[in-house]
Amino acid sequence: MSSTNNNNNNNKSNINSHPVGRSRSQLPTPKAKKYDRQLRLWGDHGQQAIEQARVLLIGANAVGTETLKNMEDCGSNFFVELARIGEPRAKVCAELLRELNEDVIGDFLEDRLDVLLQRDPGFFTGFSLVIASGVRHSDLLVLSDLLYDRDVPLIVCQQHGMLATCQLVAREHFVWEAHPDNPLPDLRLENPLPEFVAFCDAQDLSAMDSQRHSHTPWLVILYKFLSKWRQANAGKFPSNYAERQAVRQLIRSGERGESDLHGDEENWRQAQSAVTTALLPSKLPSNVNELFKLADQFWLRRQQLSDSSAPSEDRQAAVPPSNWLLLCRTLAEFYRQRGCLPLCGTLPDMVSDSDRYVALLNIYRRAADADLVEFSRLLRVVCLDIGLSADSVPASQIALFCKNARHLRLVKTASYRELSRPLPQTVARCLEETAEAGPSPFWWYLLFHACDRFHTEFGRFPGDTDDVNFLADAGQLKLKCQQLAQDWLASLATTSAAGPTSAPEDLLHELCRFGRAEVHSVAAWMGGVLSQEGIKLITGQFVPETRTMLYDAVSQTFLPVF
Amino acid sequence: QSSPGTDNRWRHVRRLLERAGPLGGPEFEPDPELFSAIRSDLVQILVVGAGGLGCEMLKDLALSGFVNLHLIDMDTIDLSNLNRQFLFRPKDIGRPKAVVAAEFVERRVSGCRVTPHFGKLEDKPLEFYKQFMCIVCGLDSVQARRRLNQIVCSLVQFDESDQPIPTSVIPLIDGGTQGFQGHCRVVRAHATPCLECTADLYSSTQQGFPLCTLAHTPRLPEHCIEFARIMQWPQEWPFGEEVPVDGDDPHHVDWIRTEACKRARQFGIREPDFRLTQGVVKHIIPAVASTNAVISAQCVTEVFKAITGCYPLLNNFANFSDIEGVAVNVVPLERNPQCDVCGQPPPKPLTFNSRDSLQTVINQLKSEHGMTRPSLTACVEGRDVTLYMDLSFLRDQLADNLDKSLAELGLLSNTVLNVTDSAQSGMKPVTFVLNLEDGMET
Repeated sequence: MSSTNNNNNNNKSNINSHPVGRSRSQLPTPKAKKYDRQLRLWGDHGQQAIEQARVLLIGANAVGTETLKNMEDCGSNFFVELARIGEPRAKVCAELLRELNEDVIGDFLEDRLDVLLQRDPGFFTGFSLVIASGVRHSDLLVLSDLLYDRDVPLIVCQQHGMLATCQLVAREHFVWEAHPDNPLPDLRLENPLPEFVAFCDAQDLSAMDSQRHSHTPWLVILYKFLSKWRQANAGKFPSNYAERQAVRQLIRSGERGESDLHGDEENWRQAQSAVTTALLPSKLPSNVNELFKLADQFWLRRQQLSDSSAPSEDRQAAVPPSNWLLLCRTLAEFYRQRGCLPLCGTLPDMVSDSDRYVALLNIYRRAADADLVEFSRLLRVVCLDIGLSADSVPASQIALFCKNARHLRLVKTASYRELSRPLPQTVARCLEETAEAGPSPFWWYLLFHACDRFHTEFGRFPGDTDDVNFLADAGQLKLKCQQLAQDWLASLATTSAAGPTSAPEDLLHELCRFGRAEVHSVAAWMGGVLSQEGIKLITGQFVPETRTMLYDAVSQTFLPVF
Repeated sequence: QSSPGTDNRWRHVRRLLERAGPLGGPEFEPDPELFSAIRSDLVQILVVGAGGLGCEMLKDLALSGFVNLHLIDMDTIDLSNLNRQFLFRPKDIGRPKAVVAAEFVERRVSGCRVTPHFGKLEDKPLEFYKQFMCIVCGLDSVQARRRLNQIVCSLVQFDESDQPIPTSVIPLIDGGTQGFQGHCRVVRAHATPCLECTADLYSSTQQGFPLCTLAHTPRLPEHCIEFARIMQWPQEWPFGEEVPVDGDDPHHVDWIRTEACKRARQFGIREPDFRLTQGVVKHIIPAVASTNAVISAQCVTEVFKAITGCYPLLNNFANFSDIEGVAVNVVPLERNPQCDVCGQPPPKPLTFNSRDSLQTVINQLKSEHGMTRPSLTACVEGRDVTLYMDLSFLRDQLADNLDKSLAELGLLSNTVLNVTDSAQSGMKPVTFVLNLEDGMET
C-alpha cells in the first residue's frame, strides 16, 4: 500500500527560478495575471499544487460553502460535494460557485455519507484533501479511519451559532516551506567559508577612503572584528551575551563617524546591531533533528525487514518511502559527514557598494550550489541503495528542500478516533481549570459532542425547533453532557478529583438558543481560516494549526480546546 | 411580507434576535420585532471601499439579513481588477466598482437593496453620513481611513457638560488585510481610540530607496527597477512625451524590466522578472481570498453586534495571522489624549454664511473667543492650507484672503479650522467646526 504522494511531492513542479533576462517578452499569461496577488505568496509551484489538487467537501452548509468559495478563488479546481438526500443545496451550491469562477470544474453528488462510505470507500481515498463540515461523529469515525493511514489529510469542523470548532487530522504532513517570519540569516560565521575568509582578508579597512569605508558591507566588518576577538580569546567563538557585546564594542571602535558626503556610516551601525543575531552559535534545529530520527527509524525498519527471514510478500509490503523521507535520510547523512546542513545561500540586504555586495552574494551562492551538488550525489546513493532509480526526486525539489533545510518539519496529529476521545487526565485537568471560569473552549467542545449524542437519540439538535419552548431541551443536553464527561473520565481511578461534570447552565442555555444556527459571519470567518489551512496542506507551505481549536465570535477569540 | 421561504432563510438571525440568551449584551432584550426592525429604513449601513475586502463585507452584510446597504468607492473597474474581485466581469470594465458590486449583490440576495456611490468620501456632505447606524470600511489607504475617521468624529455632538451624545456616535468598524495578516477594530468616537489616536499603527510599508543607492551603488534587482522607473523613464519618455508610467500597462512594465535587466547585468546583479518588476512599480501588496474572508467576517459580526446589541462589541482591536498556525489576538487600545481629531476639547461650532468673508470669521474669533491675533489653517480638499497668519512677514502675503468669501476659499460646512493665537505663545491650537447656514457643501 503506497502512501498518497500527490499532495507532497510536486512531481511536476517547476520552481520558478528567475530566468536570465532575454529580449523575449515576458508578459504574463492571463492566468498569471488572474492569480497575481496570491502567486506572490506561494509561488508558481504552490499555485500549480493548488490547481492539481482534488479536494472533497462533505457538507454543503454555510462553513462548507464559504471554505469552498475561498479555495476556488485561489484556483482549486475540482470539488465534489455531498449533501443529504432531498436537499437541493449541493446543486445550487455548485452552480453558484461555477458562476463565481469560470475556471472551476465543480461537481456534486447527492447521497448519504454513511451509505457511500460503506459502498465505495475508494471514492474518498483518491482525494488530496477532505473537508468535513458539520458531519456526524459516527460518520467522522469511519471517514477518518479510512483516510488516516492513507495520508489523506482531513479537516473537521462544526458550527453552533456564534461558535465553531475545527481540527486537522493528518498522520503525517511534511512542511517543505515554512516561511518563518524572521528567519536568522545563514552566515556560518562560526566556521566561515574559505572563499569568504579570503575575500575579507583582502579588505584593509584602515586604508579605505571614506566612500569605501562607509560602503563596506556589515558582514565583512563583523567578520573582521569577530576574528580579532577570537584571536584574543584563544580562538573560541562568542558564547554568551557579554562576549557578543565585546565584539560589538570592538566594531564601535572602528567607526569613523566623519561628517562629509560619504560620512554617514550606517553600515557600521548595521554591523553592531547584527551582532545579536549573526553571532548566535549554530545548532541543529529540533524540528530537523526529529526528521533525522524519523528517517533513521524508517531505514532501520526497512533493514530489519530485508534482513529477516520473512517470506518475500512481507518484504515487498515494505512501504516505499515518499520523497521527503528520502531527502531527510540524505540530509541526516549530509549532516553526519559535514557537521552542518546545506548552506541556504541567500544574504540579507545591507548597505554596500555594488561590487562587494554582489561578490558576497556570489560567494555564498557558489558555496550553496556546491553543497547542493554534494547533497544530490548523496541522495542518488540513498536512492540506489534502496532499489529506487537515481533520479527519483526532481532537481527542483532537491533545491527547494536544501534551501529550506533549517525550517523543515513534519506535522502530525492523532486520528479523529483518538482526538475526539481525549485522555482522562486531560479531561480532568480541563474540568478543574474551568470549574469557576464560565464559558471556556473545553466546555463548548464537550457540549458540541453532547449535542451530537442528543441528535443521535432525538433526530435533531437541541433548540433546533420552532417551538417557543426550545429551552426544554436543556435538561436532556445536560444529561448527555454529564454522561459524556463521565465516559471520558471513565478510566481515571479517582473521578471525584475532577471538577463538576456538568456544564454551566448558561452554556447549556446558549447552545439551545442557537439550535445549531449557522450565523453567516461566523461561518464566513471559519471558511476563511479553513481555506488557508487547506492551501497549507495542499502546497506544503506554511505551518498548519494542529490543535483542536474553538472560534468564539462573541469574544473574538480563537483558542485551543485542551 | 414574510413568506415561509424567507423565514427559513433567516432562521439563524431570528434565533439570535428572538430568543433570550444568558451571554448576551447587558441591555439586550429579544423581541420578535427585532428582525423586521433591522430590515427597516431605520437601519442603514455604509460600506466604504469596493475592493477585495469591501466587496466581501457587502456580501457578508447582505447574507446576515441587512437590507439597506450603501457602498462608496471612487474607482472604476480596470483590467487588472478582474483577477481577484469575483464580482467583476470583462463587460464591466470602465464602470464604477460600487455600481457593479451593488448590482451583483442585489441579484444574489433578494430583498437586499444596495445603493452605490461613485466618488470620494469628501464629495459627500456630512448630512449624508448622518443617516447610517454603522459604518464599516475595507480600505487600503491610510489617507482614506483618516478622512473617514475625521468625518465620523466630526459628527459627534456634545451636551452641556461636554459629554458626547450617544445617538450622534456612529460606530466605525475598520478592517484591513495584507497577505496572511489582518486586523479588525471597533471605533466609538470618544469612548475608544479613534483611528487618528493610533495613526502610527498604519505606517506604510512602501519602500523608498535612497537615490544615491539607485544611482551609484545598486545591489538588488529592485534598485535597478526603481532606477529605470524614476530616472530613465523621464529621460527617454518611451511611450510619448510626458506619458507617465502606468503599472497596469504590461508594455510599460516590460520596458522598465528590460532597462532594469541591462543595468543589473552591468553590476552583476540578478535580473528581475516581470512579476518582480510590476510588484515594485505598483507597490503591490500580496493578497489572498482567505484573509479577506476572515477580516470581513469579523467586521460584519461586529456590525451585527453594534446594531442589535445582542452581544458586547469587540474591545477594541483584533490582530489576525495565519502564517504559522492561526493566531487571533485582541488588544484594548487606549485613546490618545493629544489626538488631533478626538482629543479634548471638542470643536466649537462657528456659524456663518458661505458668502461671509474670512475677515468676518477673524473678527468673531477676536470678539467672542478671546483671541487677539488669530492664525487659521484648515483641511481643504485633503490638504492642509494656511488661511491666514497674523505674523509680521506673513500678514501681507495672506492679506488677500481676508476679503475672500468662505466659499471662494474652498471652505465647506463641517470643515475643521485649527486656530492659534500669535499673541499667546505656546498655545495649543483650538479647533472650531464651520457651520455654513446656506449649506454650500460641494
